Amino acid sequence: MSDTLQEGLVSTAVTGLSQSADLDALIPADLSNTFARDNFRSDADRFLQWLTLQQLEHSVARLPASAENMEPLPAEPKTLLNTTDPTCLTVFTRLNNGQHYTDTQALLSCMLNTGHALPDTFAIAVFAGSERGLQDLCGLGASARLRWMLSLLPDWSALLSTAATDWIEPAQQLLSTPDRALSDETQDSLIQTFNDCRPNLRGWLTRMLARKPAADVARFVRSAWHSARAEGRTMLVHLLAGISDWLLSPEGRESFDWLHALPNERATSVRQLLSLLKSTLAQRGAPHGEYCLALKQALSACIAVSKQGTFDLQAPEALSPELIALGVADVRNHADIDISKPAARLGQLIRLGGPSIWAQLLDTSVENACQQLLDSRYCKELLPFMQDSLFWHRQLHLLPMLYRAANQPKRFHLEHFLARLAADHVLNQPHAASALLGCLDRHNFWQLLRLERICLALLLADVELTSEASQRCWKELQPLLLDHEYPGICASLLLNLTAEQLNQPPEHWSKLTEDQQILYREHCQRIGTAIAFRQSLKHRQASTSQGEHP
Amino acid sequence: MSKLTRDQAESFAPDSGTLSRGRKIAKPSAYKDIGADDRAIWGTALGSSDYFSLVDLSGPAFRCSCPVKKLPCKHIMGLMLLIADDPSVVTSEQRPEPLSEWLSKRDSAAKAKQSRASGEVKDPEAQAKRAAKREANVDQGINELRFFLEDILAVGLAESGKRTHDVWDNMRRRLIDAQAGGLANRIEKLRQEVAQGADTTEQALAEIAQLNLLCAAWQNRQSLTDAEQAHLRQLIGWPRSQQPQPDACLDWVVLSNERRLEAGLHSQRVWLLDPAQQRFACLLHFASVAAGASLPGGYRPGRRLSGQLRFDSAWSPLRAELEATNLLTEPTLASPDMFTQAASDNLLTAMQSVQTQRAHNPFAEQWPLMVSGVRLVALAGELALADHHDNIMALDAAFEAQLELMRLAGPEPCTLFMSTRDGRSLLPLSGLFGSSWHNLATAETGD
Repeated sequence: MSDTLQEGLVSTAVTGLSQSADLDALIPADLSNTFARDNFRSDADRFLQWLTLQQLEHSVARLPASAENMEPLPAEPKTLLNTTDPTCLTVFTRLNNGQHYTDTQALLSCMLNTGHALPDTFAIAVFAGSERGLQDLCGLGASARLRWMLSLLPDWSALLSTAATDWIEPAQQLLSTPDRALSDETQDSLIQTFNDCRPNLRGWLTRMLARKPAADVARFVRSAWHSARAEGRTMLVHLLAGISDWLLSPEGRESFDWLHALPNERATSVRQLLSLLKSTLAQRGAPHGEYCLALKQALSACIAVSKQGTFDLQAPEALSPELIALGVADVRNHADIDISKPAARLGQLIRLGGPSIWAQLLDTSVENACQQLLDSRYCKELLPFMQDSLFWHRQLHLLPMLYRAANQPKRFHLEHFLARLAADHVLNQPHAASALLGCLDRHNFWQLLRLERICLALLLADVELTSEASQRCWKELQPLLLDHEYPGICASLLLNLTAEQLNQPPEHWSKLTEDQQILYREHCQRIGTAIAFRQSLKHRQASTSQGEHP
Repeated sequence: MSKLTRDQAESFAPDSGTLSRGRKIAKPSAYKDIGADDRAIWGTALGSSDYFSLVDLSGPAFRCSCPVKKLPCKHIMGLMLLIADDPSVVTSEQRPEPLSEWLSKRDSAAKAKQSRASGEVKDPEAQAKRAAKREANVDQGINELRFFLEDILAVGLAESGKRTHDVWDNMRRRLIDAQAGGLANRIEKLRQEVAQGADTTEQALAEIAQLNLLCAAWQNRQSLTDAEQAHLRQLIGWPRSQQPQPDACLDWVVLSNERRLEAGLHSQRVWLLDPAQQRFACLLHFASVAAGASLPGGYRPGRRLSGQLRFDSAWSPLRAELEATNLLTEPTLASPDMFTQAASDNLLTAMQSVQTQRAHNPFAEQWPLMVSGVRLVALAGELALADHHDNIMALDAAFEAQLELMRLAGPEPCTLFMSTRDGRSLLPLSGLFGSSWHNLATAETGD
């Protein structure tokens, strides 16, 4: 049946026979005898029979044919990340069932850290709208198939913070080949992404860049600096902090000079970080230089040591040009903690000074100096600055003293606050992750691991507890599992226990109630699944590198 | 002793929620008096009170004394999973009294059904009288329907769409009174299509043509064969009749399993393949939500199924019923070759075959086809399917698993099992991707 005939038929049926011009004109000549007026009781009957015949013929005559406007779909891009093992995907689904956003992020981070693509079904659910806020992460870990789908579905790429997908390939190359140098083209693409994307993705890019050779990192920072906004620049300063040894070496001389020749920074946050970086570099490179002397002088003005050996702290009342030159800024807040302006100035000086200068001024060991500062009347105000200082000056072995000071009645919020700051350092300076773990080894670290932020930060930095540390942690954890305390996915993923260790019953097992035993077993089962998940990823990675799974 | 496996047990879950709740209580401490034999498993779940859970594996059929209507409930799921994981938890093979009673009731019901199916008639004379009366009623209903269809065309679809619901409902009720329930349902479908306006005009015209064809076929039924008449009666509203002899094929493969929840009714459409003769069969199951009934499980796409089918019609064999489910047989997956051998290698041949069958029986709702070497392409900004000769067909507007198809197939050719309702578009139901068979059909469980 021709299109004209079908159109005429449809239009007559829609408007109705009573409105139609002429039914006879619609019926083709070769059928006019069959559908003659005399054969039917009414025009409606005639039309109904003719319509039926035409519809049936039309329907069964349809056959597929080639179409001129057919467009072949693009070829699939090449695979850059490892394909996740089906067993691992099953465990992921089980673990992720009904979990919180943070836990999901932790599971996905484990996969990305080992160079695995994220599960397609999960990523599709994210892009199709049932999961929010994980689109950038799913874009970063997209498999070849998902990247192909992203190229075909503009609605999906619009969900990415850059509203484009061209950054995914260079970013995945960073993930899969951390040691390879950055090409100019890749670097330009990454700089653009770095400037356009949301903070989460920027954090990921920074962490991946930090794994590159120091010269590459410095080249990236110098190229990206002028186009980056304040938030991006803070991450770039952290990147430079990660290569501070290289900056002090002859190879890094040019970048070192570039850093010191930077014009005054407008944003306070960047200005403070730059001062901190310059201060740490100066103390390590030229401990007797002009800057260090000025810093010691400013700090000594705040410390009054009596003849009995006791000392008192006095916060600077005014922000003098000398203090500004040292890098002290006019701030009232430290992150979200309220501190008075004089205390903030003192805090900044303490932070710039670092433990070795505290020790010199108080004429004692570094540990004692730290303890004395914590015993001072400004203890609560100084805690966050002191923690920052320990991270920037790489004196993390002193951290337990700070956590002990924070873990006191009426200072509960401080413990969380310090955990958050520590997590930020871990995320921004990869070397801090393993150092923090080393420090935790000597501390009651379950206390800190239960603050999920640190766990997540360690996972993002691809750190895992050692076997010994895991066992210690397990001993502290076991009694809690008899009650309603579950460590959560993040903390479980950090543990590194054998099945035998995990199944070892806690003390007084026989005296436990049946409910306690059931609860304990369930918790152990979930912890075991989380451990197995992470171990399966590592095993898979090892097998792939040996060529078992090309 | 039961040989229930975990996969089998999980396949009977009515929804993912029940399965997950069942998993949580699948532990020995949650049950007592667990027993099993070749035919049944049973146990007492220790919930807020004790619930007696029974499973007849030959059905399968489930019974539990808990207040939940949707079966199998979590207690039954937990019991099945527990026994599947660890058969040593079974402590008894001696059937308890309630179980024996229930099984004997089920046996008697099955016998009664069998005798009804074999066509035993108690009073042939009265039956003939009833049949004649019904035919007269249907005659009258069909006449009224033809006038109604003519009336629609006389005033036009646009005007008919604006008519009050009563006009359509009166016709529907008249057909129910005339004992033509099948036609009454189609009038409701036609009303919806006409009311939707321009978007569904072609579907409405196709439906009018189908209804008119049914009327004409009924009026000329004397010229039809017995098999054709049986099929026609079934479409009009007579109860389903089945072939007296089951089909000879014993080895089937499950191709797809489509589950829907519409208007308080669960429905399940399972497509099967006879790999030897490369023909298809369709099983349809229904379960009322209000009655707490659940659909039979175990029809996992890609698995082989040993059993005999009894087709509804010898004239156009498609819908069938499985004589007995095979819960106790170990499920084995069909090999990929089995699917590719049964598939046509291009869309044109497959559609020619479908259109020939449609011309033979224009009344079927949908026709199955399996084609290898099809790939996704874009046509006017929409996804479509093309074969290696670049013959192209659009995807059905009702196809919901586009993303899943893209994920599984990518730009590569694959083997797809599909159905077509209008001969113009395709509805993929499952496919062979890599070496495994995946379901693409809707799976609404109403969780």
